[in-house]
Amino acid sequence: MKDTDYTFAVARVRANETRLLTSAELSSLTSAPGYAECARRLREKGYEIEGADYNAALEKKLADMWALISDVMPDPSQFNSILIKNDFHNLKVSVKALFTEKDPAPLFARPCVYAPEEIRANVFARENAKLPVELQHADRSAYRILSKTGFAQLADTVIDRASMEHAISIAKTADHPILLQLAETDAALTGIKVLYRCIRAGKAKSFMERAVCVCDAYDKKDIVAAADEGAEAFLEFVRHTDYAPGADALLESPAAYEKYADDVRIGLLSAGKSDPFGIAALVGYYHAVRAEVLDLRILLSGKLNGLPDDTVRERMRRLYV
Amino acid sequence: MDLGVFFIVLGAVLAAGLSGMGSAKGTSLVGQAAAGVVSEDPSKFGKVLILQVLPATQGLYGLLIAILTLSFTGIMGSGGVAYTWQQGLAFFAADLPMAIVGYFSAVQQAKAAAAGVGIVAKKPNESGKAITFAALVETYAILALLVSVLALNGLTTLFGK
Repeated sequence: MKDTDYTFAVARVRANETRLLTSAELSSLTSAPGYAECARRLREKGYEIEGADYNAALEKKLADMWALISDVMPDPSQFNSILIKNDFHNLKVSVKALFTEKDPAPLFARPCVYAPEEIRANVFARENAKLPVELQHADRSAYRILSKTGFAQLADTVIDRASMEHAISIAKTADHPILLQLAETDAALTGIKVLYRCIRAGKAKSFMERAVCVCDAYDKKDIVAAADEGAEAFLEFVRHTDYAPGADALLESPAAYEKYADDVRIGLLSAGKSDPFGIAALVGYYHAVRAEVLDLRILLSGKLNGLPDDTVRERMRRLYV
Repeated sequence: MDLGVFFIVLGAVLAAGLSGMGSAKGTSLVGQAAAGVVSEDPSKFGKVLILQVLPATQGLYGLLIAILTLSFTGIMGSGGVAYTWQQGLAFFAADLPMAIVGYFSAVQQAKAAAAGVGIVAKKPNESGKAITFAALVETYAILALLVSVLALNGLTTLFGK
């Protein structure tokens, strides 16, 4: 693939970036008096929000974003290292739905590499071999854990770890280094978050080892050993990695850490923002739309439930535009 | 045909050919970026068209050098001229600045212009800056054109033809 194959795609995405909300617009929305006013302003920006149901409008925004990206990408499979996480999420909700007997469809994440309905059907029929190869091992492990122990958290952990490992392994075969950087960053940030949660919940070292995936940012054995020593040793360990500010964010609150992690991802993408020929602008746009949708979900849910503006603002992410 | 004339024609062909290739490649690249923007916002057609035209000039400069070469040497028009291989090689060398710089400056200018299309897409009011960035690359194509013209002129005078 030539380094200029994304010229058309990047230009189309650039033109679409002008339709994303800016930080100032989001801030103004946060200060808007009530849900109705927020919804009205968002309708002016193209969101088709009807009444109190904002989910359909947000899902449509995500679907439109993926329709654009898959339309302009010379090879949409280059995005698989990003999308595969949604497939693992769909696997997770499907396996859990087997035991809770609830329909997982409303929880499906899109866009994804494989049709969520097929994943659900194969999970429900226990046709492990018919699942995509990447998902088979995680499905078997999670099902075994849930059926034998009912330990949902461990099942989640096993699937999340497999998700990150596959994202890294797919990104390694992709043509663009930014995808591997993103997958590695994601694995590192998630590993830190999960281990800190394990410490707070008093989890055993064996659980921690199953929860963390190998990544370039730190040695898995060392970070698990630090976590096993306790919160102080663990945070000190984190302070000596590239994610040092994450230690303070962890101490502050889980929401603060989530915000920090998103900021790191957006920061990584912003570095490739000026490249008019590479995939970075497309990846950036993908994450920007997702971040915008996530922010609006937090904002609209907060407005509907009468949460204070400051609480809503604290949970919102840094935007890419 | 003697070897001198062969070198002269080769120089003219390379000046027009390489510069033309660079321009074709460049305008195609900027065209792709421009099409991306116009497909979302047709009102920006005029602004992105200016950026697309910028890398086209090298092809014209190359053509000019080819015509001057063939005209100064008398190959185009009167005909029946003869040059030693050393004289032919000197004319060939005179064409090289335009041929080489023409190709590379067109491609590089196209990259700057395609990046500029991104500026126009997001901030249409800043299109003047985008055009300036790309236009600066033109300087080196103009310098190469100048060198080739001066060299052709000097050689014509030197060989008294």
